[in-house]
Amino acid sequence: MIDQLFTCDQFDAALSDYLESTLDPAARAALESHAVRCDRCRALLADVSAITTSAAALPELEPSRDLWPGIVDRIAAPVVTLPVAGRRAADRSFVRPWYLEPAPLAAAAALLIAATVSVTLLATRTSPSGPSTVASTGASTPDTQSVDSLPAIPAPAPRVKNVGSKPNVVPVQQIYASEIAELDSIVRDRRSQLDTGTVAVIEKNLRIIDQAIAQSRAALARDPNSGFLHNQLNNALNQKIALLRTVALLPART
Amino acid sequence: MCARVYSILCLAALMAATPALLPAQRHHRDDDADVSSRIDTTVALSSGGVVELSLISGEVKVTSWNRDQVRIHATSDGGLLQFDASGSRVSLSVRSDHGDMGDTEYEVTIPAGARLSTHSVSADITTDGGSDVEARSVSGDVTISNVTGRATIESVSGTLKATHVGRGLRANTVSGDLTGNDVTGDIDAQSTSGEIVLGATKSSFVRTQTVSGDTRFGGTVDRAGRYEFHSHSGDIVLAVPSTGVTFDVNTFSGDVQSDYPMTLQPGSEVGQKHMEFSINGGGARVTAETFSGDITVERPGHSSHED
Repeated sequence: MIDQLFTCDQFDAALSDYLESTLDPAARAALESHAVRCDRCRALLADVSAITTSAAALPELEPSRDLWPGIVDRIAAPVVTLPVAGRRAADRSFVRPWYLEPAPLAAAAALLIAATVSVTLLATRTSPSGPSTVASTGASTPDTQSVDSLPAIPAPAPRVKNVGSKPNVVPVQQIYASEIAELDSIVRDRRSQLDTGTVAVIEKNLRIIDQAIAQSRAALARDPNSGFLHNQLNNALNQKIALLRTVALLPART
Repeated sequence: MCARVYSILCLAALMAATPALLPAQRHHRDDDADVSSRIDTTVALSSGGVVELSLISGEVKVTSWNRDQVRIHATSDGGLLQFDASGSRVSLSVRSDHGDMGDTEYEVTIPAGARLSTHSVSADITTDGGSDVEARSVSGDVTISNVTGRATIESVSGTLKATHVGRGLRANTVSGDLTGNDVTGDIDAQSTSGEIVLGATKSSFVRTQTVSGDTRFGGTVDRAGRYEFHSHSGDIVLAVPSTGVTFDVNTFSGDVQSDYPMTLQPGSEVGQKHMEFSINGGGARVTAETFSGDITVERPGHSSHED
């Protein structure tokens, strides 16, 4: 049962991707070609396709009752008005899970971004890059230059109890900066493959984002404990990473 | 003797094969010589099958019908069209052997239940129908309508428009404006400088994010729903009906206006306006945050922000 292009084992391994339409055209053609020649695999493909089609035709199941309103009632805490002076103390006495603190959330976001960027890097490095021209990405320099002066943000508490020691400190902004620098180098390589109009739009919007980052940082310098401002800064940094990632994955103009 | 017979057989086989090879070579030469290509065909596609269309420049127009068939009319000026079809997938793309080509035009009719994926660089994309639709362009405009399932639309500088989407919209633009009208299901929309306008939505989860682009939202509100609008310097205008809603609005240096009564939270930081208020007993959670933009909450039909 060995086909010129595909074996039965390869057929089995690729079948789910074929059904989910995620196989590349060459592999798809090889799989279909194998199915034509192999009785066993043709029968398997017919069976699985029939099941898929039947399953797709099934009506959507509705739960017998909607649990969400009950959940909402339980978790919707009323807004309690507190005197201004007592608010900080009250905040401290409120035992909030570590993962709901702004800093761990930011750290988690940064780790997620790091993972995403790594995938992007792998994806873009597997294809040959175009000629490297380089137009400076002046727009992104504020992130990479001002890293050292940024406050470090405490990392999420470890799951293992760490009695008597201070929590680890992860420089979240430094993670953002290094990921942005990596993506920025990819984007610089890609510029020659994009049309000039698109490059101009991207540069203009990177400047807009950098302005937002600078404004958030300036406000944060005056009020370092503001969760709102931390969120604003992280949103702007996330937008920058999203834009750079989009550019890294754009199709070439030819 | 045996070697001689073998030689004769080889020669005979070669002679037999030669006529078969010649047309293929001629066909290939003809392809190379063409300055334009054309496809006019109709092929079968199973219900729920996939249609993939990709091109560089020109235009894509997709419509739908109630047949399990795909009809394709495609022309390319200087490009070579590549067409591939099986019972569950149809794909059409274009390539150039010489590094340059003119515009390519696709007019495609797909089964109403088909899934559509289309990509372009500068070509405009217009689709009408399909179950799930994914349409991406770099600088072309993307316009989709009458999608029964989910829709994903993206562009860097092109305009994005989505109308009558049944099961959720995901949209991403850099500088182009996004307009979503009559979208049911979850909405996730992002823009850098483009404006986001969502009207007549029927969603229980909406999330938008811009940097400098303005945001306008209007539609029904689900009491158990969650609606989040974030911006840095863009204004946020929310036209929300007076069903139960709990608002959490926050701006650092912008203004907040509301048609509904609201109260400033004690403890709000200096220079920052943070307000939480409820209407009609609360319910749906609506969060609007912007650094320097203005936030306006208005009753539907009472807009003071119409263009």
